[in-house]
Amino acid sequence: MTAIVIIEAVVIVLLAILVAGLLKSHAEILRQLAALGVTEEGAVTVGTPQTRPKTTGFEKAPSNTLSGVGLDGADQSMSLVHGRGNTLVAFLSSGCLSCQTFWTEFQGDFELPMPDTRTVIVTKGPGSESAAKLVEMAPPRVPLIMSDETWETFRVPMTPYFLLVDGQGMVIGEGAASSWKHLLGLLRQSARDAVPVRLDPSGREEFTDQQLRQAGIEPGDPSLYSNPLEKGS
Amino acid sequence: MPRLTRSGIAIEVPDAWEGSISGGDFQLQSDGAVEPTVMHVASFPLPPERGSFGTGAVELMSGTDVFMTLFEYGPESAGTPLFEAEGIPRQIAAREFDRNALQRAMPGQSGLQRFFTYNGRAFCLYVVLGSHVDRADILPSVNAVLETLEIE
Repeated sequence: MTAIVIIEAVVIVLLAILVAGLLKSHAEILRQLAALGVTEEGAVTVGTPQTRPKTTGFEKAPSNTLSGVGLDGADQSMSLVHGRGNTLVAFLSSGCLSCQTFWTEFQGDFELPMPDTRTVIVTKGPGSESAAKLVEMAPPRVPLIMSDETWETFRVPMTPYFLLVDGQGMVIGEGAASSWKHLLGLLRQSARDAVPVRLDPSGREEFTDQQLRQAGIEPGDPSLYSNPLEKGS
Repeated sequence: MPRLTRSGIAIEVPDAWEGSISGGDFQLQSDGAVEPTVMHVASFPLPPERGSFGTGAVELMSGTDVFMTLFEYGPESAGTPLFEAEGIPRQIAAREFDRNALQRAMPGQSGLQRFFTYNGRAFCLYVVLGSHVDRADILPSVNAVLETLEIE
């Protein structure tokens, strides 16, 4: 009888260890999926970047340029700090199934929520990508750069992956999108998020001065130095 | 500063500028046409579809912009009267620009063409400035880029 109790106790302890292990691995899987931007319902989240830790505000893009070779073998360099509108950087590959919808959309007369946005497709370099396949898939009116170095510099976690960079090289949106609709959602949200914090400290001061001047308050105006709480008294 | 290299030509592209070097080696294409080396450097975002001498790009220039092309002709052209000038143009003067030197006439713009031979290779340097009136102000950036141009 004692032996049976001991065996049962051992089995219960082993089962408890097994369950604890399963729970731990399940939690780890969920944590990894969350880091990749996938929710428990299986949807890939878009909008606020999910794949890279963020500090407050926007960060500079890892590089001011996208450099690599084109499909014709041209050595090329494109700027992210041209000061004219935004750049949508689409990291795609010829083999990824989720990328197919974006290759197809970019082939057509696609429209983005912000009309002053230039799209640039970046694939891995010629050593890692099939240039012959890309020639068939590449849209004629969207520039394409093949570059392992750019891929590494931007630490691309998966494909398809998108970065929206403003004309000063600030990343105003970043994330994975599983469909064209998701991408448009990402861009709309990024556009909304970007508006209030686009000014750097010096720009903010200039903006404030401009607003005050429009309100008829010039530098040195006494109202700037009075205590508003004392006005009514 | 990104550095472009292809077909024995190298150039440094300033920050916020763009550039490309395509073609080269006069390889025969599938349709039998030759493919010359063409270098483009511009102070504005270059459209993917553009002509060798800037058609499709110069239309996008603002008054302060620059578009530069280095176009290589076949080796048989080297040293011929049109290409008799030896050496890479490094310092261009504002007076050398002319509104009538544009391949594609655009209001306000100014252009320059220099044909030269270097190391037995024949080239045309074609520069477009966004504003003829402000050419003296824009030119230093062009000359700074030309200082970095290397041809083997």
